[in-house]
Amino acid sequence: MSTPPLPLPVFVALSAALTGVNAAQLNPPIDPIGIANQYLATLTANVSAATLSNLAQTFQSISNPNQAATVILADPVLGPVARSIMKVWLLGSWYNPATPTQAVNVVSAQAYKESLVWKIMQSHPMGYSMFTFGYWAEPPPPLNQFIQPAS
Amino acid sequence: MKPSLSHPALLSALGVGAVLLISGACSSASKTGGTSSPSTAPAPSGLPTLSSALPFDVTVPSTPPPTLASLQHDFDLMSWQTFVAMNWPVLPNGQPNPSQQPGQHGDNATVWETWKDASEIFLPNGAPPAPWGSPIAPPSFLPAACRGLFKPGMRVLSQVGKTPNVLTESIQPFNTGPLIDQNGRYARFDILVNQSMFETIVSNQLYNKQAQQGIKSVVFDCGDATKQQVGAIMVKSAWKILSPAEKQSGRFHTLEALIYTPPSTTPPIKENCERATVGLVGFHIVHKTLGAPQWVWSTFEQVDNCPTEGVPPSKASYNFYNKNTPAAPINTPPPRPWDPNTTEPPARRPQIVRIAAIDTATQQLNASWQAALRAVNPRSVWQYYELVSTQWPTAPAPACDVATSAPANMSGTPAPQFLANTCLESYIQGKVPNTSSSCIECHLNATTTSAAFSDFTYLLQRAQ
Repeated sequence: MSTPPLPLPVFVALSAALTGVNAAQLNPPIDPIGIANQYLATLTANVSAATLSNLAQTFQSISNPNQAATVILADPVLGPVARSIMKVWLLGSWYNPATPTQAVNVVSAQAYKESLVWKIMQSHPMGYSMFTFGYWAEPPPPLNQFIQPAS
Repeated sequence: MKPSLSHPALLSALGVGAVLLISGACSSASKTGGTSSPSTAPAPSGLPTLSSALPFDVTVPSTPPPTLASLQHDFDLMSWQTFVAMNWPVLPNGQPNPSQQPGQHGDNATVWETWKDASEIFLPNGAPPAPWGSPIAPPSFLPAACRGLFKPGMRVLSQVGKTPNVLTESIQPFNTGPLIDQNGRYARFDILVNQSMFETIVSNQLYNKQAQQGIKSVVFDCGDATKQQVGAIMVKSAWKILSPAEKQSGRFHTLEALIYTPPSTTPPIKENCERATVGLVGFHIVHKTLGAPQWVWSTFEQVDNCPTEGVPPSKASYNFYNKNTPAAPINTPPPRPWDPNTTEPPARRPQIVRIAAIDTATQQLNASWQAALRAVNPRSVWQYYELVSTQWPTAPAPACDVATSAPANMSGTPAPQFLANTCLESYIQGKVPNTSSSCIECHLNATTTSAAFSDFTYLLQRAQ
């Protein structure tokens, strides 16, 4: 089996650096949803293998993930791709790197409810709630209950 | 998922059998507590060991590191261990019979059938229920005319739909409705709880609507291996009225029940009582444990219920599917009105199929446990039941009080994401979040009558 241009572990590590969310939260070891795989599949379907390979090599060539992310975001080719990765994690929607302000689609029903923006705002997506009835009468749980920061 | 070792222990939940006495053992018996050690049937080579001991929690081997698949297997195993222990032959005092094995005589009265029925707990005017172990008195709603048919120990089945009264005009969020079998008779449902859960309800007066006003949150006890405590268990069973041929088939666990239909004006339904032999077709076991404070949700079905979508039907007949009308719309309740007293014509019998196939690994586990049950007696009824799956929290709350310890992820990210029993969630099978059946995601919305979180049970809504 050939190595994918952007292997899942690299994609997750890069995503953690870009979003600031811990890799273990993005891709838990016991994962019944598989959202990371869904997002990677979306990326692979929409970005050339050459670009994804370049992305992987650039990220892995710099030992500090945050520095690697900074370099990637500044790159004229890799930067837009990285921002699409950030958007898919945060919003559950795919934005083509070439048209950064136009969402193409919500990746899936799972992506809709798992998108990080709701957790960052300590809330829930419209039409789906992981809280119990009557939650609106109480302050939301603290942010650290929702988001584990990238180490 | 933190590894958790559990130790088999004596099942000590007591209830009332057809008769008698309460032995008084509590549900947190030690290994050597109660009246006898757990009964264990020696296993033929390669087959699982049958035991009357309820697991305290899931058992996860410490090596190798667990995976989603291995944990699913561990929880499926727990489901089977629980199924066998709960269906162990029962003594008159509610204890498992140490001198018998499940199905040794074909069928047997079971331990769980001595537990408390919802109708015995939630009484008119919020009256306190009789203590654990009291003889089963007729349910409070039974009119005098039906009492003449009632025998001590008899089950009374009245619930006809997933919601307490599907015949009311209240609009339900899901397209639930009655389940009608291929004989045209309505299936009936029943909910029971074990002693641990019962005692929590009683000690907090949760059977009383007024008393519920002062309750901010409900926390049932967790199964805990270190405390040798079984924890809270609730059971939902689905039954069909058996034809003479089905009674003779030996493929169902049966009991004599009083089938009661309460009266209604809209639609017009006559009050009716009848005695019938019913067969178990669906069985939910829900067990709260320290390793799974969002509870472990196990569901079993009788093997003849229905085919799986996309798989050619292989059986001669099914309980809830007509092979002669393969083009009939599937998983659609019949048009109203629904009258449980009616024997519905073929056109009004829902065509039920299983949407999500049972996983291959679960099927393999089923085969081994069915073989173990068959080894006790080739005519054992218990070999005709199969585990559909087990839903469990992959990110369990760190403590038994889920609302306090895991407020931002109270569902615990369940696996599998969706789970449905074709008898009990017939019409909401699928894979659409927030719409298709997921035990934990639905029950997360359960509250008391005063809108406090009720720890994943809707039962407390029945308080009067």
